[in-house]
Amino acid sequence: MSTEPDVIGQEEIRYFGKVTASISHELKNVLAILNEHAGLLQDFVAMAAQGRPLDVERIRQLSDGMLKQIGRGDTIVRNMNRFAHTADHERATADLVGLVELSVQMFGRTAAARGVTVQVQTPGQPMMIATHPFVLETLIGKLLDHLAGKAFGIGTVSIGLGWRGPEAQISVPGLATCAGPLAELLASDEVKLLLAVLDATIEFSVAGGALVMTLPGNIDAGRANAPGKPA
Amino acid sequence: MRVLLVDDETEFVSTLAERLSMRNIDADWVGSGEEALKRMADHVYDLAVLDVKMPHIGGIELMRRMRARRPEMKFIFMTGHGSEQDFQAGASEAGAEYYLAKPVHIEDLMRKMTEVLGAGASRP
Repeated sequence: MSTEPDVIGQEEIRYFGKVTASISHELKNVLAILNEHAGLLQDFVAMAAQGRPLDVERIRQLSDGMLKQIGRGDTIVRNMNRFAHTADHERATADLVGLVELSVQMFGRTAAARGVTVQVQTPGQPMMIATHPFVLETLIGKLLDHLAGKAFGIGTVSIGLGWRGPEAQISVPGLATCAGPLAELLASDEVKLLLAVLDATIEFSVAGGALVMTLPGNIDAGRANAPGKPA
Repeated sequence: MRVLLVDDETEFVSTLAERLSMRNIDADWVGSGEEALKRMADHVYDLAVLDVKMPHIGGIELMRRMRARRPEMKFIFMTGHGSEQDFQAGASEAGAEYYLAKPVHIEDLMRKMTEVLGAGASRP
């Protein structure tokens, strides 16, 4: 029989696996573009060797495209690095806005492949909370994967972030089309355990299709303190 | 040989089409499954080279729809999955026998094209 730490660990590993698979897929696409651009440059060189003049403008376009893809690859790797470091400390003070945005970036490609756009409405400033960053990433990722993974007909998932007193809230409206399956997911033992570790709650209105997750500002102090809450 | 390349990574697919054209292959490209289906309304292709993972209509579903319109058409898949084995596990049951892992080597793609078009009857 699995213990609670086993279940949490399995969920974290599963999430880590999904994210790394998605990232490797995206990096493969970057490499594929660089490969074609470099191949086309080689084709031009071969033709130039046979006396055909080089098209300087086309070569400039190709080199610009290659630089763009190098920038894209760099962003992917930087995000992967940030994501990997969220597992450094079991508990840490972290910016909730950054954590949610990172989750969305990690799932962006997967969601887009399923025709879903994920937007984050931020409060315009950091929301520092003391929490279990990687467990929170795992839970957000699990929810996003679920929302983007089924043919729910949700074109855009809009995630709102804000404070309610000392507590931080993540709200996602417009989920009426997937109310039943989502309610089922939220009632699963895995989600309940992740919420318990985070000392968080989720309210989901099946009729209204709105989800609200509430997290303590400081998990060590319970629901009374919010270290980064603006005065 | 008339080929349609379909991939939402348009910089990839447009450059690949350009390189194939330089090798005397009549290659068009589009950036989505929807565009591919539209293009089929007034163009006839012998072969489609499809990305597996695309928004709205993925490669496997696109193959089913294209094959319904033109049963004799042949298909090659390109995948950014970690390995061809990973892709094979998920897609072989849909009849996707021909595939290449990205990055694609153009010589491998051309060899596969010749192989596919020489294979006679359409895939199951």
